[in-house]
Amino acid sequence: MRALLLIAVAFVAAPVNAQDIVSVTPEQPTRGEPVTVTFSESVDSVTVTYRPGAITATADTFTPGSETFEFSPERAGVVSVTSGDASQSLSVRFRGTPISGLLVMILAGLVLFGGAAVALRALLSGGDKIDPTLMPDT
Amino acid sequence: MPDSAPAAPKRGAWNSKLGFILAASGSAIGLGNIVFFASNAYQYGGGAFYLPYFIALFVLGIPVMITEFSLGTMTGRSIPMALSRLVGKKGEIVGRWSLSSALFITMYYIAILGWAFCMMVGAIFGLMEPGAPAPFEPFAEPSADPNATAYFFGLLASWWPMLAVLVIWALTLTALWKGTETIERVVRVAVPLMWVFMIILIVRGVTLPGGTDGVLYLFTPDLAGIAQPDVWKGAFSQMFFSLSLGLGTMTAYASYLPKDSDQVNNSFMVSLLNCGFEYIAGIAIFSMLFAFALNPVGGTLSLSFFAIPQGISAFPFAVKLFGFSFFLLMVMAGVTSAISLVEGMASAVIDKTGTSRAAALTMVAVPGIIGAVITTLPFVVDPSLGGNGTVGLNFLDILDHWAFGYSLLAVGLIECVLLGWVFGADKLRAFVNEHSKLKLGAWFDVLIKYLIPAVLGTVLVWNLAIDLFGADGLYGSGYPLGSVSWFPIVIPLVWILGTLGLATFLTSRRSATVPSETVSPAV
Repeated sequence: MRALLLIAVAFVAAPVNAQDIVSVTPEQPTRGEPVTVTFSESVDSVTVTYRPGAITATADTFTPGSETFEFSPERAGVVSVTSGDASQSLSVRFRGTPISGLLVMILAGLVLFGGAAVALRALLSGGDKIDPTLMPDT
Repeated sequence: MPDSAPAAPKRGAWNSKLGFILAASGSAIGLGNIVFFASNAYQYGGGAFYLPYFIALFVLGIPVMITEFSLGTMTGRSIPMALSRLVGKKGEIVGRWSLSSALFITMYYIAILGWAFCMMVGAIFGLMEPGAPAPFEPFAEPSADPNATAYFFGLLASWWPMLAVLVIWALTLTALWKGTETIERVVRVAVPLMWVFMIILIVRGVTLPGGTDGVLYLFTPDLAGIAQPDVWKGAFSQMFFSLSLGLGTMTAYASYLPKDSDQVNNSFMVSLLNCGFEYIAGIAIFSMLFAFALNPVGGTLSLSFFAIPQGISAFPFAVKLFGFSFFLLMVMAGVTSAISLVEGMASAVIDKTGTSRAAALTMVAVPGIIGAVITTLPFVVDPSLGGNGTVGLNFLDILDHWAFGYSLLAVGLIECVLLGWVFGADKLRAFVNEHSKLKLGAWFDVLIKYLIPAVLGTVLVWNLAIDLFGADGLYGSGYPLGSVSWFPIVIPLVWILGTLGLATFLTSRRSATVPSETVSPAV
């Protein structure tokens, strides 16, 4: 539960830092679509992190040197834009339907619910009631 | 083996197979299933996490569940007496250690449910509205917008959670009053309702702007992390914790089943329902968090109490209803798990002492309530929030790290070693196969004797090495704990010495009951 603190601090920090990022347009961009981030003052360095907090997080650093910064997200998903203390998360939508994601969703659902349905059928094949005479040690 | 004395007291019995499945899946589906899987999946590669997850399910989760269920049906006893009958006194100590740890876990688990109960009521009266303050510097001024974090810490610093803890304990004990009879009545309502509420949350989540992209994001594989050992460790730990293994609950529930129960099928059913619930919970959580650009990284508490209510407060309509429903779902999922935790301990007391159910429940509830009340103590020790804020939350955090993080895995490991090597994995398999349609092959022996102990041992040693020799030092030692700066040292010591001492003491006591038949599986 160590993350409890981290998240608490992140939430504490969010409203303060949000003042430093004036706007992000569009709010929910599509992958590859240009995103404009406007800061309250000129910034020298901006870090864009894809899948922040994950073991597979990757980051790109830019040097805009102005109040506005534009980038085109290379990957869909949660992306954080950070400059100094200012940070903002945005959700980048997929350009189409990701086939791999759809396949994993269908396969995992089939294994879990298909398996449970087969097991339920086997469970109830002899009726739902339990014969009390077969109880151990009663 | 038990010493001597009168015949065994009458134990409970499930009325129906479905009743058992609902109770066991209700036990497995707890607070962690709602958000923890989603968080792990995000951190460990989205859809790619399903590969180690499914391997963990079939290689570790289902085999250990078969073992724990079979222990119950083979002996008709809770875990300490079941292990005692199969492998002698050393088995009983392990079983009692598992239940002693379960007692510690129950203490703070019910405290979390108390907070969830308060948040559920709060969803109607203020959680979803601006103006929440807390006696901590970042939240000292009333919030301008709905702020779940401020509301939660404000709650933590009040006495209301103590009252809520008593309500949760009352609900749990009422459900346990007549054993399987009342448990079955409760789970027949609560477990299906949990699924219904989760499906409602999915519908709401995917109909938000960007909601479906959130779902696809959950399942789209990010293969970059699949080769990293942390991902595999995360999957195996997740599976063990998620299925409530190593706590004695599954053995206690299975001990109320007839000996001829098909434990392979039961284990598949309960495990798949548990993981299926995680699957749909992941869809609900990802769709909601993605729609509001909230990062799904975090523990059960942070996601449940901060991130998700924050997302719900941004819904376009019916925020109070959805907030209430989400926390009601949490309370139901938690209570059905708490019922099994307490039942595991109470059945062990009954098996050992032959006392009445009411007396056994009292013996478990009194220390449990005291611990839950300590966990909800509202005293602020850390106004800078450099740690966890209150005495109670720090107590919970550190105790959870040790009791939950180590005892379940350790019990699972020792259980497999004792049953695999001392009792004999082949004998266990022979018993299971006697009553199962799907027969277990010799591979089951390999899993129980070699692979599962190796995996659990590796995870345990790995975690211990991080805790003892890691850069952060002993868990919690970096927190500004003020007057309770001794917590990081004393809590793990009290937990390990207390649970081992209690287990040894209880094992040394004379057993009041004698099993009516010996265990002789066909080999």
